[in-house]
Amino acid sequence: MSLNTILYVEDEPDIRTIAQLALETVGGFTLISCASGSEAVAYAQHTTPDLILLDVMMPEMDGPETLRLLRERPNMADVPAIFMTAKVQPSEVAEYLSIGAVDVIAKPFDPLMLAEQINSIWSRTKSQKYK
Amino acid sequence: MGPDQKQAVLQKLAKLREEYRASLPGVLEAIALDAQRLETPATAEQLQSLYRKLHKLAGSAGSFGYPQLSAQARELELVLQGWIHGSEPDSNTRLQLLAQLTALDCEENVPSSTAVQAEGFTVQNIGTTKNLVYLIEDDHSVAQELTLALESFGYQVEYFDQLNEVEQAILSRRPDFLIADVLFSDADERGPQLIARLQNQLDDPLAVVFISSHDDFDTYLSAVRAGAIGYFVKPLDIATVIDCLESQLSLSAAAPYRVMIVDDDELLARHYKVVLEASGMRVEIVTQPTQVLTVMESFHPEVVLLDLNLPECRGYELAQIIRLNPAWLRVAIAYLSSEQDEQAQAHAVRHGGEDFLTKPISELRLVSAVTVRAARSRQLSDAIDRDSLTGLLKHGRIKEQVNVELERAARQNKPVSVAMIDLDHFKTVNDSYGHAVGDKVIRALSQLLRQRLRKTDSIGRYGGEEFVAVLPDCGPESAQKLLEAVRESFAALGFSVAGEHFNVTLSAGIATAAGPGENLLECADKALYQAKHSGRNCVVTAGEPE
Repeated sequence: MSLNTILYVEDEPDIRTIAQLALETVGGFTLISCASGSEAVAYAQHTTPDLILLDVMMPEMDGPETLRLLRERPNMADVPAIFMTAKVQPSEVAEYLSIGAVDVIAKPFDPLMLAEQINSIWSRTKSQKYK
Repeated sequence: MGPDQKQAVLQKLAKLREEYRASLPGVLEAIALDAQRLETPATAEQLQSLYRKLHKLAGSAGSFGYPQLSAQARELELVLQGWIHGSEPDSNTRLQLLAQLTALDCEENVPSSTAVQAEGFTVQNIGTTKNLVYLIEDDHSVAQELTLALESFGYQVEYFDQLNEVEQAILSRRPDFLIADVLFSDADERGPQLIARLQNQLDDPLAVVFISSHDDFDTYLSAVRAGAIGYFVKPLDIATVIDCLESQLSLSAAAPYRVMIVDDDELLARHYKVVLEASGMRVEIVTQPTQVLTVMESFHPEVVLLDLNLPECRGYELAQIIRLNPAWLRVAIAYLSSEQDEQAQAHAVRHGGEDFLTKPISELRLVSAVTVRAARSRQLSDAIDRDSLTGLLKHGRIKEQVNVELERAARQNKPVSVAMIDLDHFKTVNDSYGHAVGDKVIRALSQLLRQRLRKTDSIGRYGGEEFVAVLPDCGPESAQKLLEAVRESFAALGFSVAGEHFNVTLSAGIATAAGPGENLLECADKALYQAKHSGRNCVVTAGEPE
């Protein structure tokens, strides 16, 4: 199965625009951009994306909380999730993995490399799943 | 992604960066204002607001080409985090922090290409947009000849006949190269000095190539001080100048380094992974020693970082297993372990590894250690696979590549073309001007091929003056068009030896695979033979009516 639809949650409009370019134009993915966790949770009621990409620090509902709520929906229980954050100390990474993320991408990201990074995480996740 | 699409992306990125740049002063002002309004003691609300602003800035500035600002914001974010979770700092620390917060500024030089940075290591992604050259040359005929040659190699050239005109141009739009013919005589030292002064205004020095009629120590020194990457004495050999630009570009446009981390502590490995990826590398993590060989086969790492204490086997045993396969001799192996005992470290290094890095390791040290080893490994790889004169694949490797692409084409049901290219009357060039000049002609053609062909194409030096290009997903018409363009550009390229000018032409034969199992090289060779018999300086596609 190839990666097609990504649910992307980021509160910062600048970063959303640049990620949209990096993932839609460079990567060729279909991107559903949400400005907040609650928007993402609302979206998940209708459709199931292939992958969830989340900022960690957001006002109101942060990334981990958003993921927890998304996971409560049966259709979202197995969708791989990646956190994007500048906080990548071992203890922080451990926390993200313990709440069900498959990987972490460091901010700031390189717009021309982001799609490739996500593709590589995606293929690793899939190959592990079917082993 | 095709070149046009990539160019479109780069343009959009540049536009986004512009918009971001315009919004930055407002963002920084808001941070400074927040900092000035902090009460003593600061309220939790105030601190949170400031913390959020810094966090946003740290995340966004780096992606928009402000790595320094991003790093500063990240540092301050961590300090503030300590403040939020700890206690009010003493008044000195507090003052210092406030000063730093109000001093954040966006006056760093924004690079023309996308950059990511971790702890001072910057990796540039050069797009496939045309490389921009500013040329300062008061001799109009030299300028014209150089411009034509550079354009045939795919450079965009802007011409200035006065040094002072170029200064404004550089500050408003930074070129990839500056080629300057400036006087180096005692009477007029302004040229190199002016360029040196200009370099001081730039964070990232400009690649400057000097053209001069002097060749003594002092003028070389002033050129180096003005940031010279090349220095050429008149009369100018244009092929050598282009050679200099091309090698500089291939340094910066290389593919990301590939690193494999073998560590059963997955969290720590992931931390190293993000650090290395932030420096532009590609990283795979292996937590089970038994998986190492499989990942090596598919990922082709250039550096392997091995923990010493692994389940099932010791790190040095794994290093020896890797070393059993001659194909992996080029891979650099370094141990990354918390083993403190020097005897144990020395033992490990004697058995398969090359170095020992001790945990805990700083991010800076990790990135620098891996970068150095990856570069060394790639150099070694290139020495094994590539022809030393041209940097193209050697005979055996390009033949392998033909087969690889044939198989891929059959799998994907797409065409693949192979072109065999041969210089016309090359023996006469060698006999008339000597082998050193012959070598220059060969290098010029190899550079032209690299410029004109796509990244997915493979180019090899097949024999003395014979080249092979493998063009995946390329039918006979496109291949013919492409090779015609190469032929024309090469024929127009002038060479000069001791004031004597000459041109060299090439002939090419093309064959396209219609099905698997075809001997494409043989067909292309036959077409080349036809081209030679039709009077040379032409391109023939196999299967065309004679």
